[in-house]
Amino acid sequence: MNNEKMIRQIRMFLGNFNLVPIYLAFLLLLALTTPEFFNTFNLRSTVTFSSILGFLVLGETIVIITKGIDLSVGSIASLSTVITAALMKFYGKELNNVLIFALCFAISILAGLGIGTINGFFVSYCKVPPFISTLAGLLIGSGFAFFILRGVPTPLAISSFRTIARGNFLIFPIPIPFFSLLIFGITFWYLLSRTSWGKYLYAVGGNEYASFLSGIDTKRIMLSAYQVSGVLAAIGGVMLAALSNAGFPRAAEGYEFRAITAAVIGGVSLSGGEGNLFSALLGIFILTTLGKSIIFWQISPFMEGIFIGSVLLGAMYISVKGKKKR
Amino acid sequence: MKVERKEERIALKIILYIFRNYSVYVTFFLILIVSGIVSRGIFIRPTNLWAVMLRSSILGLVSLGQMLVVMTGGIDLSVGSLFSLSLTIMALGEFTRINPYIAIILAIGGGTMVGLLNGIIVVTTKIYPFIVTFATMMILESFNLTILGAAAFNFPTIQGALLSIMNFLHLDETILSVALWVIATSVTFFMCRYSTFGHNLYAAGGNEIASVFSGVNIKKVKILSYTCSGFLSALAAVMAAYRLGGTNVGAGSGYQLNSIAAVVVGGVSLYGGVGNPIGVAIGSIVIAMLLNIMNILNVDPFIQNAIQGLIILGYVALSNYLQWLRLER
Repeated sequence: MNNEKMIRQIRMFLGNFNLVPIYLAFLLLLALTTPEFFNTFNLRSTVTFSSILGFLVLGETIVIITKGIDLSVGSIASLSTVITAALMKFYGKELNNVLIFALCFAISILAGLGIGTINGFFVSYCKVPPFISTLAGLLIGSGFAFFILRGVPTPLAISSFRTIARGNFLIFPIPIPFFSLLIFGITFWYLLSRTSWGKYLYAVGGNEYASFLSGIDTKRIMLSAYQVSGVLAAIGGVMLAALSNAGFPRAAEGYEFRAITAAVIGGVSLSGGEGNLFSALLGIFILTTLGKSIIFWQISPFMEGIFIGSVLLGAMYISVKGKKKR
Repeated sequence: MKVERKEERIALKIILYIFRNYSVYVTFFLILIVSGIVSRGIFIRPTNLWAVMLRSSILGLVSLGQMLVVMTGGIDLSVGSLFSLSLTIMALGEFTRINPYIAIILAIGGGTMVGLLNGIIVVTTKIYPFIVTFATMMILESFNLTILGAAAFNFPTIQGALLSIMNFLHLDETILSVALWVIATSVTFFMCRYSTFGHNLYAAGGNEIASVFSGVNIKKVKILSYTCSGFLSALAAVMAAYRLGGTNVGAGSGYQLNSIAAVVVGGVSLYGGVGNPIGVAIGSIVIAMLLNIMNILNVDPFIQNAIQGLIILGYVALSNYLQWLRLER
């Protein structure tokens, strides 16, 4: 009895797609074709980059669970890299480092919250289709990102900021982004599966009208999903700035696409109401590994988009097929 | 007291009726007048209006295709990258020194084929249209980047071929593209009004299941509409090729959003089944005018994007509100 329950929980944990064996098989393929892939530096950078994208994936997954879609996460992340670079450029000498770091996070999060609120407001209170509303959010975010530093890629003035992305957590050889993603992932897993807010999110995604009738404030729940997505994208953006050591309005262009793909690979259904955070996160690790392995297979990195687009179509196809069977 | 209320109610009803059914025209004249005043007459000079017409004719062709797709309840996010794809094919033609006329035909054919592919994927796999076209967009952009690299590429031979076509027809560049746009719009208009395909288009967007049961071949309608969208984007790219004289990776990046904006302003419902080609044509002029007036007023080009986003949002929200008002009354 207990055993059965545990198996079921493990099944739920892995999501619909049983991604772990797929990932292991993929890694095995990599080990056979390009053993050079497995050096410490490359593995570390893969993990760091996937973890930073993981923040976008978390937000995207939460939005998709409410039957929405968030196309603005990439531009919010770009905006926060620009905000980070700009703050360091203009105030780097006047204020002390810790204060600047805190300011970078605070202002980026505020910006993300702002754009998320605009998205969510129009989706929930004005009934604008989510992809139109967040497409406008994308425009607003990238507009400001270009405006602040006039589109010039700007290196970060304070070099010690890099430790946020490249340093280790305490003395363990765990990159800080991975560790923080783990904390955020567990927190949101708890929020989604153990609190009423999380239950409401699934309910709204599953059947909005029914959940409205059963007394859920559906509009506020939807608004909150977009706000959370904006904030998480902003945090990811600050970390991206720390990783690339620069602020650039195109830094995260197209990353919303990776986030959606990762969520779909992870079995999050675009028709709302179901999805698992951890399998979505595993999705982004697979996707980043695929992107990196393209370079090791000596295929032009420009063609990464072709691969990711095909993977998305394939995963969507499987997801739609699976839907029909039930 | 009672009479006053009734009159108020009637007046409100009339205003609502005008805004609901003719909001494009109201917006058009409002923007025309406001722009004329704000720019102190620069906007309504003939040269400027001519430039607006060229811009709106190219945008109008793309939006027309977008409209056909939106009417079936889908959306085509790949129009911008289809536009770039056609330019890339023309650049490839220049590079391989094939006959420029063949290169132009190949460019239009390539765009049409990708549109057809979009339609087939949407219909056979039943994946959400915006995911399919989003994936196509990414794949095409990646393809363009692989072919062109980061550099700009000029195609003087193609430009020469287009010029000789214009000379042959004794037409100006602007007149030619406006003429094509007008022809395409009127063909679509009559098609929507009087042909089976047009009626099926409205039916498929309005209620998919009902139209399947009444014998409409939805798959054919959808595939055709995506194919038309690809064809029209490619045609717009050929029209723009003479003016651009070359291409780079981001050549068509604005069209995806501008065409959706034009369609929305033109009174097409994003849920499908409602729309009118004339409205979309006026909508494209409205968007072209907006872009133009922002340039005249020296609005920061980086902020223009943000303003455009807000305008789209506001417009969709407003039209949804008006729709809701009708339901209440």
